[in-house]
Amino acid sequence: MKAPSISERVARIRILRPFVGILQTVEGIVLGSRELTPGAPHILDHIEMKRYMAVVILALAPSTVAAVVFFGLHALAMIAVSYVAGGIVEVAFALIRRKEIEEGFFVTGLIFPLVLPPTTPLWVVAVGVVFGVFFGKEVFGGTGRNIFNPALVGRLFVTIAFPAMMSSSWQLPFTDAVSTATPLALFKAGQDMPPLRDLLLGMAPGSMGETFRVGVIAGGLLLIATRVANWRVPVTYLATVALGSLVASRLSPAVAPPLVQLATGGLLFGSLFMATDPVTSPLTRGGKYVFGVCCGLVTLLIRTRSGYTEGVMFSIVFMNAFVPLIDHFVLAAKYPRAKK
Amino acid sequence: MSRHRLVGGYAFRHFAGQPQPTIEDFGLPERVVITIPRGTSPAPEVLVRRGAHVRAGQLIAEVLGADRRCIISPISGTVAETGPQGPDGRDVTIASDGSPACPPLEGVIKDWRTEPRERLEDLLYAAGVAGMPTRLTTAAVGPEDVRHVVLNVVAAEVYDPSVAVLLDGRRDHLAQAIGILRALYPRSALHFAFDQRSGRLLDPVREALSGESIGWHRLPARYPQQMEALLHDAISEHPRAPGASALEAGTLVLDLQKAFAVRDAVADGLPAVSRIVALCGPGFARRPHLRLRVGTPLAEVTRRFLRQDGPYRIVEDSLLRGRTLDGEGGAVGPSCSALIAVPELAFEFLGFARPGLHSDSYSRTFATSFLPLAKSADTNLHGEPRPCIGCGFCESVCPEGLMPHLLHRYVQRDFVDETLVRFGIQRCLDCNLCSYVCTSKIDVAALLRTGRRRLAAEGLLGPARAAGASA
Repeated sequence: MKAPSISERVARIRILRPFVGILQTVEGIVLGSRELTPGAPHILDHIEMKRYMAVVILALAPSTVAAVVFFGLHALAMIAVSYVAGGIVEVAFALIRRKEIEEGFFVTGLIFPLVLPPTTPLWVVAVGVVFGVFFGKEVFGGTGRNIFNPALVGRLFVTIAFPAMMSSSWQLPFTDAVSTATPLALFKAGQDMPPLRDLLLGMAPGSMGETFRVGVIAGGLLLIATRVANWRVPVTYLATVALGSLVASRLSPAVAPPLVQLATGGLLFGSLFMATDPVTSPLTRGGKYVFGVCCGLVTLLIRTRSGYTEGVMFSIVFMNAFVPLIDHFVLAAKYPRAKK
Repeated sequence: MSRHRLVGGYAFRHFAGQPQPTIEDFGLPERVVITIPRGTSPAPEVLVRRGAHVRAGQLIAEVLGADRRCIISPISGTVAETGPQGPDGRDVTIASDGSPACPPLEGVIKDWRTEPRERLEDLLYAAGVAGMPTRLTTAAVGPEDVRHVVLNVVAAEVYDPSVAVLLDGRRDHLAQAIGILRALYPRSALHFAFDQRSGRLLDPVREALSGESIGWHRLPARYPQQMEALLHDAISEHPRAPGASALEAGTLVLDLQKAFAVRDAVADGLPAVSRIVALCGPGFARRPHLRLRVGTPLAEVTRRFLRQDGPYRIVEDSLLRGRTLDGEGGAVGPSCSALIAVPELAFEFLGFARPGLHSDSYSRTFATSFLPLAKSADTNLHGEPRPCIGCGFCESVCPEGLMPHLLHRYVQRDFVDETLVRFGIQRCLDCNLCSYVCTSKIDVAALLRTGRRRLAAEGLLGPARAAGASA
């Protein structure tokens, strides 16, 4: 007979019972699992959700560190506010559902501030993350059941609710100076853009996480190498944007050529960290290809044809809505109904 | 040249606690415990009473019905107890009289090559060798339906007995076994299935048999290639119906010990009373291969070999599919090839954050993915159950190309209907790899089994699969 764990002892006190889930979360982090396999298979893979999310956070580390280095303590404050505000929603739902805190939030809480401009006021960060976690995830039933990427839902909300704040003041790295245009906006206006090297190393304005593109690429490759992210979505997404813009830029000078497309905006960050979210991308392999291609096409469409300069977040959320449909058709093709 | 290459699967490499390449004679146990299985017919009658003296090899019960076979006494001694009929069967305990002698079977023949097939089948039956379709058994297929006979020397489990130890000094016997199998199944093709390592050990056998028409198949040492159904898929040109077993599809699979048991029964008239069992896993202080009598109580083995800093779980044959054995009351079964002792680890400080120098994982998030370090095995869940996030690991490792993450959701939400059959749930082999790799610690394989059971109950599975699902 195992000695009762701390959370088991707390569970005996009625008034403390809703907090058992939170205690179990902490116990799980520090002491690992007390559970044993019930039968065959008698041993299990060592991967678990905490490690899975820890790898994603590790992959986000270069962008996060770069954001703090480029944009100072305000960036750190944004991240802290995001975790605290979103964490309150997560903990509240864990208490209501009497479950442990789901690890997915630790990634959402970091990704959300990274897709915001560095000048975003802290209260906007808080409002955005609460909206994103609540309407993007919790109302669907929590982790594993959401249709839309929660960080992107929050981002969409603040973009539409506070449009001026989100698109017109982009801080230049290492300074407090603010410019009104990102490289993509400059291209659209027909003006000169910063050189490629600046774009890759983060010397150009943009949202906090997207600027240090070398770090984004490194993190993305880490995710793919560790099998945490499926390679199919980012590869097809980026390939579609590259090929599509290759063709379209020959036909119209208003369309940026492939290298500019890939090196500007949130495309690298979005395709490697957000489109790869396993919950909101298709279950089927064929579906992942379709998802990647469609995301690429919609991104190009929004970037070239719409009033917005950046299409990545819209295209991912838009395609998230189609994921069940894509899976349905791929399954119907792969497992055809027997003809009666 | 394999007909169907294994998709998915997972190679279990570098696990610490492999059995040592030595063999030890365990000697006679004080007593043996034989389980007379229930079978599908009326419970078999035990033919000996309490207090009766039995010889090694003597018939003590006959299991009728499907897979009809003889249960023989592994030792000479006195019947101490015949237990009550339980759901799995009844136990017969025989106390040893200390005599190691094992008289040859009645009807032992001088030269099996000159005898008709029926005599060989009689000897096999009397020796207690089970699972071979003969005119005496009423197994899934009759001997005429066996198209392929495969000797399985693929070692793809976490822990496997050493092929070198099993083959040691018995290469001629293996050639004889091939001859006997040909005599038993003259119309079937013979095959060897081996992997890279065992292939080298089989080279002398291959040379000795070079004149004969035998299929030699090198297969990847990737779990679950060694499962019978997948061996059939690899060597046979006849497709297997979804969910059908290898035998139902016409392929008989034997491992080395079974082949030697066949040879010993027919060529020397030896009843199948002893086995070579490999001790594996970190729980055993020493891990030789033991030559012991069937029915040896586990307590006698653990007393001598199990480490005292327990608790350890003892598993039979396969860490992924085998059953837990009772260290106190259990006994070595007639088809047991390995006893695996793994620690029941109840906690690991900051387990998820460690570099993982000894942690096996399909995801490449631990140090063991990059360095050939010895991996540890224990029964800890290594995480808490979480909702499925669709990471897709289960789909990547499924040997049948199924989508366990999709199928288990249907079962969880009670959508058990023809859609699951359309998605191929009946093809599931029960290899349990999906549960092994699951990031969310969901017992996916158990949910798929539940789904198949419910489908069988509703009559939505084909007849072949329904018979297996209800077992």
